[in-house]
Amino acid sequence: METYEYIPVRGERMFLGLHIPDETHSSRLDWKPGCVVIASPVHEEKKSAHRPLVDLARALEARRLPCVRFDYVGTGDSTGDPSSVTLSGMTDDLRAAVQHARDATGVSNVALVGLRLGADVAALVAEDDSDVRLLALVAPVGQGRRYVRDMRMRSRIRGAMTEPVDRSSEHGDVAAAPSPPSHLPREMGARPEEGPGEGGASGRRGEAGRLAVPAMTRTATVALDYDGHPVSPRMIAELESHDLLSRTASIGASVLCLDVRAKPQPSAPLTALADALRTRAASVDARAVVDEPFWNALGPVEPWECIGAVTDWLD
Amino acid sequence: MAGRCPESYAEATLHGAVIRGIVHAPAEPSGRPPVIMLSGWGGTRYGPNGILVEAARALAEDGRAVARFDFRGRGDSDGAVSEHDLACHIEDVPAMAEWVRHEVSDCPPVLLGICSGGEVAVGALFGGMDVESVCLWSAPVFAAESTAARRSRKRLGYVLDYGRKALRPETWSKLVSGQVRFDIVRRVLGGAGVHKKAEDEPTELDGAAVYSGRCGGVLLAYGTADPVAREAVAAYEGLFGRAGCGCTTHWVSGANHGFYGLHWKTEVIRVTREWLAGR
Repeated sequence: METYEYIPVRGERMFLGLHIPDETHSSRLDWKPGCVVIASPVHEEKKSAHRPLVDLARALEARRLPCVRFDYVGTGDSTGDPSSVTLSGMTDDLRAAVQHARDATGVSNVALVGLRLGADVAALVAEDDSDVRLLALVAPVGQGRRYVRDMRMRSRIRGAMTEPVDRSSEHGDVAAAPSPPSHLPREMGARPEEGPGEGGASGRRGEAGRLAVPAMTRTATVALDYDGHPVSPRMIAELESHDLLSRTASIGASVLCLDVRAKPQPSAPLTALADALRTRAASVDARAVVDEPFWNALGPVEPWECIGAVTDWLD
Repeated sequence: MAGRCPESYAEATLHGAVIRGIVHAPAEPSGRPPVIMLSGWGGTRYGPNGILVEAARALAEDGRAVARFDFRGRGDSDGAVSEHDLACHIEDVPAMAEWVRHEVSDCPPVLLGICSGGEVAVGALFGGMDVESVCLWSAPVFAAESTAARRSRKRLGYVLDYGRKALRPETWSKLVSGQVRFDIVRRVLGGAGVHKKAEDEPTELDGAAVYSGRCGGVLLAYGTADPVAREAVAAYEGLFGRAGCGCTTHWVSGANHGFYGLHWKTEVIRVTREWLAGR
């Protein structure tokens, strides 16, 4: 049975989906752990990975493993300011989802499955939750500074591939817009006027070295426009200091580090992360599946190799 | 502020499959036509960079109910990804509209489609659906696929797709059990597409075609750096012009396909709010 609801988290409404096997089947609530909680990535990786994670949850439910999915506050269908999404906030949201899973199933033991930055968040939660028995890290980021580097690189590439946009400063000055292409047959305001407080630019920095962005839905200052996702200075700072390889807290769970790539061998960064985790986790299994890195896909994908590897390991 | 209007989970059913979505209630009851948002080909109901969520919350502030459903085979909705194509998505729209008519408002809705969701909106019009108006954001056009070069590229894509499928164990299982549809494979690689084209199927718009549904106006919003924009705008302006339907075009300066930038996203939402408010 698949149900959806909102739960209160950090003053917002967090959207959450529960995949609970029908009672007519022999429920696996006695299985250890009792429920799987899936931590998704963020930004455009979340959109691309959404359906594969739904397919994963349904595959787990088909094996009579209860499962919970959720949108971090400020992402997906959850309420909240997108520019206030931070690593620490994501960690709090996963903890809330885990608690909800426990309340829904009545079983305290859980498994966490995380993808990309969601994997890193799952690892952080597992450090201080001894009832996390299994921890599957799919294509984990590992080192936040790599994620920040990739975000900045993609922003630069986007800037190079699109026309330059010269706009206002944080003080609302409206610069001349580039001339529209001559082929445009009709226009409804080629250079829309912007009201006070709006303005800023994709790729152009204001006085404080931060982007000025439209104020319609944002309360936090934005450091980076990542494909239309506002990334706050706090998120950048938390990512820059995040390094799973240098952490020392013990993890009671058995860990799967799973790469999804064109080769059947784990990449060097994943191998390094697995080696680092071996010093502090109950056990670590590092491997790779040959499948599409679906979190980057533009079209719909069905990464069954990856889904099969995760469900087999959990079951 | 975003998220201040009530939002709730909703389900519609079509052919036994559950279509899942979110409904945004208006800040104040206004009697304005509701908006049904249609996501892109591989996307979910929140859209690229959450643009549909942001737009839905803004339109709800303006007094409009907004429904964002996932198509079958996409997002949280039932159905396998590979079994649902644009024709299925077009079929989903009347089911979404019926849910909205029954649960929200009996006014003809506004269809707002992004990327291929725009194609789906046009397809729904060709299917005879009556709408208050249509907003097409970065919608490619079926007719733009008609050139030999693009057909050739599509065929290459199908070949590669079948090549990938041939490597999967389940394909060999289907081969052994006789489940592989060789007639479809032959037709696809021959260039006819996955579905046999019916006479009335709007997979490629005829140059003289006029849709059969009623539509009070169209907003086209495209980025000037969107490679599909030029031919799409020309095609849609011609199409709706022939039907005598007022068409307004807005170019978002510098924007790419999907409006992957904060200012582009904000601009297209603002323009859409203004356009709808003026109707």
